Amino acid sequence: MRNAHSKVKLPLIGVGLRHVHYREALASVSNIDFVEIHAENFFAEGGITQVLLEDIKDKYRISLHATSMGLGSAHEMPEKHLEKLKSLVNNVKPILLSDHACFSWGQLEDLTVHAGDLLPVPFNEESLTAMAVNVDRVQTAFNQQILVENLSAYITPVGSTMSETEFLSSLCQKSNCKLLLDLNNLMVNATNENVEHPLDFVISWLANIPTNLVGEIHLAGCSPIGELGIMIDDHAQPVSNEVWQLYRYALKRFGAIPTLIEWDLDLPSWDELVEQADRAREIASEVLSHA
Amino acid sequence: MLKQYQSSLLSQILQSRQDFKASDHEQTGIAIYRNNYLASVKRSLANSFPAIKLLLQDNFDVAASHFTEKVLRTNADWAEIGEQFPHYLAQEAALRQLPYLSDLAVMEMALFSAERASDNISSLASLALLEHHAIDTLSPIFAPGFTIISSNYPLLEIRTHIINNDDEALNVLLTELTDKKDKVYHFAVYRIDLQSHSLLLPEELVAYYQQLLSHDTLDDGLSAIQTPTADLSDWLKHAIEHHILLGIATVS
Repeated sequence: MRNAHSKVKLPLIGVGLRHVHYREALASVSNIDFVEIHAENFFAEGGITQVLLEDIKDKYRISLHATSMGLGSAHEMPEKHLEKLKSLVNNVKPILLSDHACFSWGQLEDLTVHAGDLLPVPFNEESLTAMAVNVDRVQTAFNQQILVENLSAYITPVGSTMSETEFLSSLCQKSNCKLLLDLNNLMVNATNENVEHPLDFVISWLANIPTNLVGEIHLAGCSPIGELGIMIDDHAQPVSNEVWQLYRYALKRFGAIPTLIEWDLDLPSWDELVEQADRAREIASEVLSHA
Repeated sequence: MLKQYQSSLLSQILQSRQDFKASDHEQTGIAIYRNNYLASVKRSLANSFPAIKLLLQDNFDVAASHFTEKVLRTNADWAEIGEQFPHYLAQEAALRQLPYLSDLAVMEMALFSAERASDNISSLASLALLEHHAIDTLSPIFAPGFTIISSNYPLLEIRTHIINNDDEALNVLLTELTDKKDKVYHFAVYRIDLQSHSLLLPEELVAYYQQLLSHDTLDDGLSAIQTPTADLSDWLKHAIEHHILLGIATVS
């Protein structure tokens, strides 16, 4: 989209749409370019969920963000689950479709189980092959390119033989998918790994990502857990100053990439959420007009 | 190697299996994932079983924790994690003093599922098909999520007293029940518009509902009723009045 007052190409700016905001979001005239919904919240086959989905589709372009595919799983995602997602994708026709660089499916006691979380994989050839196979499978099923999001992780799996940026870049090149850059996840990881200068560390990380591979940016806040001395990627806070700084850098490097404000817990008012999106738009306008 | 690592991590998170080689840092990380998992299970179960949650209060979280240790999550849809909760409650020795709990959980899960069930579109005008089609070519269209639950307990009354926080009425009801252990209650659970409902079915109409729900055609369903205890017209009137029967359709 283009700002009426400039010739600068601005990114699409969206917000994560959560249940408590449905009423205001559907009645609002806010300047939101798209909303992101979590695929798993719309699995109900009928009833109020499908009524709401139709209303959302009428009002907004939708980014469909999944949290259950476990793209790095060595154990295959059940076909039934893929079909469920495919049906949703066909219905929603999302402008962006994404999941995470993680594993969730596995086998215990001869049962296929799901972790209910985004679990990290080691960055090595075996994980890369598994993830590329799974990305190919879902892109073929959905007939759409997907975006794969970098993870915030609370353990570091042993067995990595390459850096995260090498891993993700190789995945995109092998599978023709794109990256969903979550800047908050990068800050959380850098902070929890006790790197000396987290912001500089993340900027170097971003500098190692080829500029043509990024398809979306996520901005969010995180919370410290005092007794554990770590940061949790809970999306329960406004976007932090560090993440805004990273966003400026990312805009300079990657250009006008669709950008989403995520806020999932301790939700603010709809207006406050929209203000965060407005701030992202202002920053994009400022940065890109000087690019 | 990858499969082994993933199974080991899943076992530590889902089954609380400890890896004694894990460093402090890893144990902290696994504890975060384990806590996230437990919180999600508790939230999902509380959403599906509001009356059970009210009744058990703090013990609900304890039951949810035990549940996660005994039942592996095989479905990625959090809304479906409660499907095995009634069975777990029935097996849990600590909860045997509440013998109706498992049946109540079956009803709550049915109510929750009815809210998410596929929309069934039909019209009572379709009943005109009865005039021109043989009943072995017609099938009933029931309300979304329609199911029948049978129990030795008056679940609707029990649930109402729990939701109203009326302990006294609940105790009186349960005391009265000691003399009526052989009685069987049948309940319909289904959705009208966007809200799920439950209804005690009249005894004489239960066979109609059970057989017509479990057979493909009207003919098969009606033939399976060996000794009708009511007229078909009585059933039809009841089913229409309570929005359980939405219409009929030809069987393809």
